[in-house]
Amino acid sequence: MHEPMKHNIFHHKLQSTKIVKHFFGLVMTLMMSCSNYLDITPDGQAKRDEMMKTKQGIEDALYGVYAQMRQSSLYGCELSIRGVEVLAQNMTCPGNEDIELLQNYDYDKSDIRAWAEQIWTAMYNNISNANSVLNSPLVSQANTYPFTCYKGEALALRAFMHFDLMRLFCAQYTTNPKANGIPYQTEFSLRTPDFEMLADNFKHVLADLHEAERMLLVAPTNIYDITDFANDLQTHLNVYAVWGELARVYLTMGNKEQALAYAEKVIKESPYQLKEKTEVVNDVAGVFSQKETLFGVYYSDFYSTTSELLQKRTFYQSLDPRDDFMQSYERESMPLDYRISAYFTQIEAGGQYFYRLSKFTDIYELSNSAGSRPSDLILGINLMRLPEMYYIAAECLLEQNPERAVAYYNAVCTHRGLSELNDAALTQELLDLEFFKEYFGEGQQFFRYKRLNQPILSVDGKTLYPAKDAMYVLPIPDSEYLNRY
Amino acid sequence: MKRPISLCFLSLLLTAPSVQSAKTDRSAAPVSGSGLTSYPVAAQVANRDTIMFAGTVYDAELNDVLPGANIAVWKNGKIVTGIATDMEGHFHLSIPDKHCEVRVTCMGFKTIVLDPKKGSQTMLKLMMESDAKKMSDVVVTGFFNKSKTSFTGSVAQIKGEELKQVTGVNLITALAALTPGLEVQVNSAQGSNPNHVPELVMRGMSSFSNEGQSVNQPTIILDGTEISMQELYDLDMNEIESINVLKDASATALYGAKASNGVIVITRKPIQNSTLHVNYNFTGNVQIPQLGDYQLLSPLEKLEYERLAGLYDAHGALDANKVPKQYALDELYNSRYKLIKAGQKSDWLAQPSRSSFSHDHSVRVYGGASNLRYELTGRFSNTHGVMKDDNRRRYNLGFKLDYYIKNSIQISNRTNYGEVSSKETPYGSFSQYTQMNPYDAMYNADGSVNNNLAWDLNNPLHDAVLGSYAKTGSKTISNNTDIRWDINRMFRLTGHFNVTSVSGWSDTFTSPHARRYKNETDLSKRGSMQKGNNRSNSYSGNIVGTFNHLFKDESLISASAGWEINHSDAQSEYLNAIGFYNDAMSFVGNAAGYPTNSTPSGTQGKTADVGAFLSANYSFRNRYFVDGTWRLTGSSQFGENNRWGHFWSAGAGWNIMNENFMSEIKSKFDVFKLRGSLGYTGKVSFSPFQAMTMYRYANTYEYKNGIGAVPLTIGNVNLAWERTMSYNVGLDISMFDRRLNFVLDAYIRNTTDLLLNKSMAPSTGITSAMDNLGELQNKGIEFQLDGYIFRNKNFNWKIGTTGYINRNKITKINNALKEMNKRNEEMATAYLEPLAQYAEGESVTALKLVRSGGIDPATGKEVYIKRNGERTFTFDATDRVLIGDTQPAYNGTANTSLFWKGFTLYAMFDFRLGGWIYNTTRATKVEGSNPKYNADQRVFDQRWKNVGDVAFYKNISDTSRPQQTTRFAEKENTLNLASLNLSYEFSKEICAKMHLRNLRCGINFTDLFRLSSVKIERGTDYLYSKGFEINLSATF
Repeated sequence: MHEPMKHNIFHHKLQSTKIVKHFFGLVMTLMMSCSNYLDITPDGQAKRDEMMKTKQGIEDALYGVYAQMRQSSLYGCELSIRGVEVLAQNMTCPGNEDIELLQNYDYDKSDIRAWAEQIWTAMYNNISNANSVLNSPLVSQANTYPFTCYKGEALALRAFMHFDLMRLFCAQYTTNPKANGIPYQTEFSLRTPDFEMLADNFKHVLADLHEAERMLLVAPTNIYDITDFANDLQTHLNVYAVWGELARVYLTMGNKEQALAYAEKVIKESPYQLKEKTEVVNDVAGVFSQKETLFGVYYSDFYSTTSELLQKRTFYQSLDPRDDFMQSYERESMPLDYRISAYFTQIEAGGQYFYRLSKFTDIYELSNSAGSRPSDLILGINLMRLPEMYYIAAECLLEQNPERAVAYYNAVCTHRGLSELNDAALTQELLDLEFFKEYFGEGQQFFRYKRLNQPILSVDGKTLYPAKDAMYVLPIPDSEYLNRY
Repeated sequence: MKRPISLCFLSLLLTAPSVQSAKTDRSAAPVSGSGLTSYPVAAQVANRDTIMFAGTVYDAELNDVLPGANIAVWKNGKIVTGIATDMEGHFHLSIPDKHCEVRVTCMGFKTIVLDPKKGSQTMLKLMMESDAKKMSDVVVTGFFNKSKTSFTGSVAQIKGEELKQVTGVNLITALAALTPGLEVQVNSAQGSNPNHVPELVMRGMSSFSNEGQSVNQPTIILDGTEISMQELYDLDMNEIESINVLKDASATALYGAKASNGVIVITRKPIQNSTLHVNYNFTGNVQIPQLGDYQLLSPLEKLEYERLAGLYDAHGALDANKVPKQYALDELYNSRYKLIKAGQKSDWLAQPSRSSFSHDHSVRVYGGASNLRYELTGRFSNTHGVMKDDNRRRYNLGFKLDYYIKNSIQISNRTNYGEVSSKETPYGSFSQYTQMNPYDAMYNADGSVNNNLAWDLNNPLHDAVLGSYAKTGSKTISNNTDIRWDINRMFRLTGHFNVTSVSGWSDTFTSPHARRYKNETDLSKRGSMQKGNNRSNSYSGNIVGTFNHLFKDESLISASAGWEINHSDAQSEYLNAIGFYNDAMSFVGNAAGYPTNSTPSGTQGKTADVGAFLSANYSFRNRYFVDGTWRLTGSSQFGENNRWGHFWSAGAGWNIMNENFMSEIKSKFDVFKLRGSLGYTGKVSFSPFQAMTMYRYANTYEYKNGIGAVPLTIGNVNLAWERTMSYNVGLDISMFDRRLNFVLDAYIRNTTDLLLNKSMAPSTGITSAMDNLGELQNKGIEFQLDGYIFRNKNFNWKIGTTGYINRNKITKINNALKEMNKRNEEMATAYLEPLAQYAEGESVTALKLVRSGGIDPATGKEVYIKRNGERTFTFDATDRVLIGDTQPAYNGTANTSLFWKGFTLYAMFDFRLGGWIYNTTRATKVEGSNPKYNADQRVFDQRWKNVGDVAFYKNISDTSRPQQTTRFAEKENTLNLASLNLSYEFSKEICAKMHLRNLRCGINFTDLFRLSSVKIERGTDYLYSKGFEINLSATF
C-alpha cells in the first residue's frame, strides 16, 4: 500500500483495455450476425430472388401470370366476351352508355380512354410478371428440362400478350407497314421501354415465339424432372399453341406461306382434332373443349361473369347478341347448323323472347349441380381453338390451291353438321361467315375485321362503319406518354 | 480487502434514465475514517506559507467514503496541482500560497470549494452531495444520459408537474404547449373528439402533405422503448417524471434512421428509497360543447332565404293537369310559414351534443429499502366527449421491482398491462345537424323520429337512435428489463430489453333499419358487421457501454458505444358479414352470410433493424467542448442496395461564463453557453416490398395445378431513407440563481431524397413507384424566456413566453410533383379546400388561389383577375397566385404562475399568427350553399339580391359552389386561453392531522376563451369543447 494511487490507476488501465476489447468484440459479433436477421418476409409473400431459385417458385410465378390473364380487363371479360365483341358489333347492351360509346368508336371520350388504359396497364403489368420469370438466372440460362419449359412458356406469354396489344393499339400492318408500334417490354425493372415501329414489334414477337418453340421442344431427360406443371397442357401456352400463335402472327403480317406452314403443323402434328357435330353442344360451356382447345386460361369462377353478363338479362350490364345474328346461321337453308342450339338459347322476359349467348354458360352451375361435373373437364376460357387453324390454312390456300382450301373448309363444316362445299366455290366471304359463326363471342372477330380491313356493320344493322384507323386503333393512354422522364 | 465500488460513478451523468439517487440524508454522521494516516502523496517540502489540507471525502447519501474524487488547486484559472482521494477516501494536499482555490470534484456530485485563506485544515470531513437529482443537469437520450453542461444539441426539458399544470387530461397538447417548435396539427374536422389521436410536427413539415401526417411525426421513446403516438396519448400523466424533447442532429443522431423528425424521450418516475407510500390522483373533467362557432339561420330567415333563392318559384310551369305548379309551391310556403308562426323551431345542434363528465383515477404504491424497491401502479379513466354516447376507457396496471446488488449492479423489471376501449358517437358527423332546417320537427308527436322532412332530407337522428355502433379496443402487455453494471470508476454497462404484445379489435355494426338499406328488399342483405382483429408482437434491446474520465482540471472525456436491435411483427384481419334481422342481435354469429364478392382481408408487417453507435464528448476545463456521434443502422425496410445506413453528428460549445474575462460578473450567471451542431439523420416511411420485389400468394391466383404468385410491385432496389441535414446554433443563459432563463435556437433542416410516389409509364409494368425525389428546407428560430419577478419562500411570481417561427420551402421539384399538381388540379372541384400546387421556392402548405375582383353589382357574378391583371367572368385555374402559407407565421405561448403560501395560479395563452386559411364555411354555407339546407347567417345578410347591390357574395339564387378565389382566403390570428389553473398544496401540519403525507388539489380551466380573426365553423365532424378539470392528489 505504498503507492495506492498508482497501483489503482494501473489496475484500472489493465481492466479498461480488457473491457473495451470485450465490449467491442461483443458488438462486432452481434453486428456480423445481422444481415440474415434483416431479411424478413411476411407469410404469404416471398422474395423474388429466393423464389426464383426453386422450380416450385418459378412455377408459382408462371401460374401467377396465367391467373392474371383472367382479370376482367383482360381475357376474363374485356378481351374475350365483352369489350372486343362490342367493338366487333357482336354484342350490345341497350341503354348502357359505356357500351354505346364503344359501339360508336368514340375513342375521345374519357370513359373509353380509361377503359383502354385499363387494358393497356393490366396487360403490361402481366407482361412484367412474365419478364420477372424470364429474367431470373435459372430461366434465362435454361438449357435443360424443366427450365426450358418455363422459359418457353414465359416467352410465349410475353409474345402472346404483346401481340394482342399490337392488334388493339396499332394500325393493321398489311395496310400500313410503316405504322407506329408499342413499347416491347423485355425487362423486369423500373426502366421504361421505348416505343418502336410496328415492324420491329413483329420481329420481337416472332423472335420470342420461335425461341419459345425451340425451348418447348426440349424433351425431359429424366422422368423425375416432370412435375404437376406438365399436366393439363391446355392450360399452358404449350408448343401447339405456340405454333397456332405463329400462324396467327404470320397471317396478320400477311405472310401466308409461314402462316399456312404453322397452321398445318398444328393440324397434322398436334394431338387435337375437330370434334364431331354431336359433341358441339356444351363443348365450350365455361370449360375447355377437350378435343379442340389449343390454349385457354383456367378460371374456376368464369361462371360468375358469364351468368351475369350473358345468361341473365336482368343485370344492367348484361349483353345481347346482335339483332341479325340468326340470319348468318340460317343463310344456308339446310342442313341445320348444330352451333345454333349449342351457342344460343331463347328466354322469355315480360312476354318477349330474347336470345342469350349461352355458349359459355356452365350447365352444371346453371342447374346447381356443380358436383356432378365430370372431373376431366377444365373450367376456363378458350383462347385458341383448332378450327381457327383450318380457317387460316383455307384462307392461305384460297388463291393458290382452292381444292385444298375447300378441303380444310369442309372439314370444319361437316363437323358442325353442315353439308360440304363440293366445287371450288369457296370465297373469302364464305370463310368470313364461317368464322363469324364459329367464333361468335370469343373475342377474335374484331381482330379479323381489322386484319382484312373490312367495314363493320353496326349491331342494329343500320350503319356501316368504313374501315379506318380511327375505328381500328384504340387510343394509347396519355399516362404512357406523360410519364417518360 | 474488498471495498464497495465508489458510488461516485453510480449517480453520474451517465445514469440510466430509470435510476436516480434517492434523497440525501445529510444528518447521518460518517462512520469510518476518522484518523488520518500520512501519505506521501504530492508531498512537497513545506515552507512557512504552506497550507495543508487533509481529510476524507464522503458520499453524503451513502454515508460511505468516496474514492477517486479530484482535489485540484486552481490559481489564475490554471491548475497548479491536484490529487485524487484513495480507496479509503483520504487525501492530503499542501498548497503553496493562500491566493488560490481548492475544488473538490467528482462527477455526479456538487463541487465543494475550499478557501485556503482560512489556513490549514487537516481534519476535513467533506460530504459530497449528489447532483444527479437535478433533472435539468442531464439530457436523457434514451440510451444513456449526457451532461447538460457539455451538451451541444438542442433539447427541451419538461417536468411531469409542468405538464399537469397545463392540462391533466391531454398529454400531447400539454407537451406541445411547453415545447417551442413542437406543434399539434390543427384538425378542424375532428374538434375535441376524445377518440382522435392528435398529430405532432416538430420543426416544420418534412414531407409533402398529401401522404398523411404521420410521416412528419417524431419518434417517441418511453423508458428506452419506442412507443406509438396512440400509446403516448393513452399514457398516464401521473407516471411521468420528465420529458426530453430532442430536436437537432446532435441530440437525435443516436437514433439514426428514425431521428429526422425529432425524438421525444419520456422518463417515468423512479422508485425512491422509502417506507410504503400510496399516492392517489384524481382528475374530473367537465366539458361543454362550443356551439358558438355556428351562426345558423332562424326558421323565418331560413324560409325567406329559400324564397329568395327561388325554391318557391315555379317560373310559370304547369303540372300534368295543366294546373300551374305555382299553386302547390305557394301552399307549401304558406304551410311552413304557419308552422313557424306557431312557434316551430327545432334545435338540431343540441341533439347530438352534450355536456360531459369524465374521470380519471390513478394509484401508485411504492417503497422499499436500499437494495430492493417496488412499485405498483393502477389506473382507470373513462373519458366522455361532447357528442352523445361516445367514450374512451383506459385501464392500466403496472408492477416494477428494482434490485441492487452491492451498489454496483442494479436490475429493474417493469411489467405493464393496459387496456383501451373506445366507442364512437352513433350520431355521426356533426355537420349533418348543421344542415337541417329549423322549421322541421325532429320527432313526431308519438316520439318517433320524423322522417318526413322538407326537401326530402334524411333525418340524421333516424340512424342515431338505432342499434348501430363502432367500437374498438386494444390490450397491451409489456415487460421492460433494465440492467446496469458499474464495472469500475470509468466503465459502466447498461442493458435494456423489452417485449411487448398488443392485441386489438374493432367492431362496426350497421343496423338493418339504417337508411342506407332503404332500398334493399332482400332481408338477408340488410345490416352489416365489420370485424377486425390485430395482433402485434415486438421485442427490442440494447446494450450500451460507457466510459468517462474526469481530469483534475475538470476536463471531462466520455464515450459510449452501443448496440441495438428491434423487431416487430404485426398482423391484422378483417371480415364483413351481412344480414342481421334484428337491430339488437349484432352478434356476428347471427349474420345471414357474407356480402357477394367479398373475401376476408388483412395486412401483415414485419420489420427488423439493428444498429450500433459510437458517441464521444470532450470538455476542456468545462469551457470548450466538442462531441460527435456515429450511428449505423441496418433495416429490413431499406432497399437491397442500401441495407446499411450511416448517420452522424458533430457539435461544439463554449461555456462563456467559465472564461477569465467573465470572472467579474460570473457570480450572476448560472449558465452562459453557446453551442452549435450539424448532422445527418434519416427517416424511413415505406414498406419493405417497395424496396425489393416481393411475390404475394393469394387464393385469387389459384390455377389448375397450383397456386400462383404475383409481384406486389417492381421493387426499387435503390430506394433509400429520407435524409435530413440539420444545422443548429443555440444560446443558453441562466442568471441570478436561475431567476432568469433564456434559450434561443436557430436551425436549418434540409431534407433530401424525399419519398414520392412517382407515376410511371404503364408499359414499365407498374403505374407508380416510390422514389427518392423531393427536396425541402425548413428553417426557423425558437426561443424560451422565463423569469421570476419576485421569489421568496412564501411568494413567487413567474412569467414566461415561448415562440417559434418556421419557414418551409420546396428546394427541388420534379416531374412526379408536377404530375401530382396536374392531378390535383383536375380533382380540384371535388374538394372543398384548394389542393396543393407545389412549386420551387414555395412552402408545401402554400395557399394558391385566383385573385377575385369581387361581385359585379350589375350581374351578381364574380369577377376574376387574370395573371396579367385583366378582369374576366371566366374562371381559369392557371391564374392562381401565391396568397400565403396555411401554417402560422408565428406560434407562441405566454404563461404566468403565481405562488402564495401553497396556492398556485397558472395561466397559459397560446397564439398563432399570420396563417392563411381558406374559409370553407363561407364557401359552402354562405355562398356555395344549397338553399335546401340551413346556412350561415351571412348568407342572408351579405349576398347580392338586386341589380346595383354592392355585395360581397354572389347572387342569392345562385347555388353553385363558388370557384376557389381570394374572396375566401383570410389571414388567421388566434389567441386562446389554453389553461387557467388554480391549485393548493396543503401545509405539512394540515396533512399530518389528516394522516396524509401530502395533499394537493386544483381546478383547471381549458380553452376558456378563444379569439380569432376568422369566422369559420370549427369541428365539422366533431364538436370543439371547453371546460374545466378538477385535480386531487394525495399521498399516504
